[in-house]
Amino acid sequence: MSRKKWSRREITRAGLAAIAAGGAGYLLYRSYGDPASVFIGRATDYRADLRTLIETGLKELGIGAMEIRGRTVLLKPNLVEPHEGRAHINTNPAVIRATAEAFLSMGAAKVIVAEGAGHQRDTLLVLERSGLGEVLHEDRIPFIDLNSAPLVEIPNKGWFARLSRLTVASVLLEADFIVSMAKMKTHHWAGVTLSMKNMFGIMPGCVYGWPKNVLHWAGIVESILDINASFKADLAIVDGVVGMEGDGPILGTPIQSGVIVMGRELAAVDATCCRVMGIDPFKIEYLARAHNRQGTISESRIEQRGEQIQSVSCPFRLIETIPAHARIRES
Amino acid sequence: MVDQGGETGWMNAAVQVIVSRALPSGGFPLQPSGQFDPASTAWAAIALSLVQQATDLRSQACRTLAQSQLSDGRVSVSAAHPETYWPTSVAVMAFNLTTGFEGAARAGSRFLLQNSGLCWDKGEDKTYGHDTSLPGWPWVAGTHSWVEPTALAVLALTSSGLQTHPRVKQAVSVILDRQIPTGGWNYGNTTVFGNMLPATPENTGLALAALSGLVAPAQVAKSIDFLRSELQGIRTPFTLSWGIIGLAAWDVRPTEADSWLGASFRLQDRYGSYDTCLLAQLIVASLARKGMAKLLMESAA
Repeated sequence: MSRKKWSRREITRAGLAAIAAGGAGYLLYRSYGDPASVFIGRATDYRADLRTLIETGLKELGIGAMEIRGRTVLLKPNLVEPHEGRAHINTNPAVIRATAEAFLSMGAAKVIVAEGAGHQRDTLLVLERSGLGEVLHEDRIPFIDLNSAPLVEIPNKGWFARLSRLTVASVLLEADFIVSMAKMKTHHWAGVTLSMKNMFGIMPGCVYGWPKNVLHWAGIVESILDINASFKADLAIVDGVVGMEGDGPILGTPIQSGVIVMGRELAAVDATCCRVMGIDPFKIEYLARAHNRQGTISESRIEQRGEQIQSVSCPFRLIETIPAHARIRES
Repeated sequence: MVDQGGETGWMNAAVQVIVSRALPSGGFPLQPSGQFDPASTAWAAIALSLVQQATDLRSQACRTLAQSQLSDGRVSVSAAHPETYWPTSVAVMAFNLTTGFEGAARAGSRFLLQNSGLCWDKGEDKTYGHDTSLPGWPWVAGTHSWVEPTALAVLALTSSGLQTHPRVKQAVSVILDRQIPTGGWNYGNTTVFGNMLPATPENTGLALAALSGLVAPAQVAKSIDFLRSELQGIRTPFTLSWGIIGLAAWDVRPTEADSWLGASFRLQDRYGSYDTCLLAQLIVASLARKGMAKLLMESAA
């Protein structure tokens, strides 16, 4: 019996079927494979021993010296805009310092901090007024302004928005280990802003504007998904020692939520943060759409390390007249 | 080069740093060893023109800038991003200061006049406090108008002698409409969901620089007060430069301005070497004793 030759169309169909099968397999793996691990540490204020807390979290997540030694670690905090008396807008410098110390003690060759502030053009002023400039100066940690650093194009692997490619600072591709260091906040467009939304800050203002309005027009949710599909952070550390409730990300009020949340899978970390905040992650659009594509947000698929959610639960105030806040409360 | 009473010794050093960054192929990078950057090139050309130094270098810079100009007159951040056209305004200012680039300046101005940020009638929607139907200029084509690109476009068109053009009048409306009720500007949102957003000093300086001579002092009095107060403790170069330029435009240049600019220049010990744009802006702030619009018009080629 002679083997039938496949036409080009059949080959294409077979290829698509194989891709679909592979995708389904991946989804099954994500749905039924190993759970994601998320660590919750309790810290009542920024004078706490945050370095030990971060080191404990890294250990719980299986991140050790073997993985970090000799590598360049890039910390990406959330620095939107600093204002006097509003320290709860930005990732606290004490958390950034503790994280840098933890990675250096594990043998990291270099720790750098990088951010592309979303609203203010004067990055140096943002550093000074947020208090981070002083910490970096004292600790001799270099800072890279992602709004103006040399750029490189990467393909958009998400295709949720209509952007065919993304432009980012090349330093992001040169770093070995990237940490999204978000602030735990409500957000008047996205519902919450946590480790996945924090990655908005890698998009350079010189290309996308101040604010990064191109991404708003392309769709905030779609852009969050695209950025995280195209560029994966290796770890998330969310500063929820003091969070922001109400009209975040700028005008909300501080809330003593008292936690640091950490994990390798950003969607799972954000889902846990939501549960701490009294918010249903499945009602946050970007998380619901990321579920089973970029990680899991199912509570049953997330292995909680450290504190349990119930023991640190701290419902954040929501504003029902803000559409992104409506009906997102965990029932 | 003008020496303002010995307070501006740093300016010679700043000029030398800019000159040392000139690329062999023409133009300037953002940082040493970087590639041609249109905005840095335009700012370097402006600063070198104002201090009347390095004539060849600034002509070469403008030539490279003009070569990067697209056929519709825009100057974009890079060839890969023609949609990001905010450097056009700075390029127009540089062209207007350099003999032989009148055509490039006209093309840039024409592009600005023919393009604007996205506008829409918001009707009863109270999400945003500002009037979304007013046309200013965006950072990127296909997005909304914001304070900085609109202010830069006003300065560019004013330097081209177009200060009475209807688009400039519309832009003045945009900027005034975005003024925070308690004084000052931020990137361009006044209120969102009914809550007032805070002003920032750098945008306030830019807006005041653009509005000089186009609106009455009473219309910006609170913003001037805000900026005067804010600037006392600020030495970072972008905000300090635009803050001083903005206040000078309204005849309230701080008496300590020159020493502040020198202090800012010396802060490179802490921050590392400044971007070319920032060095140029410090120089412009030192020379713009009556604001940037007047300085550009007085210095036009």
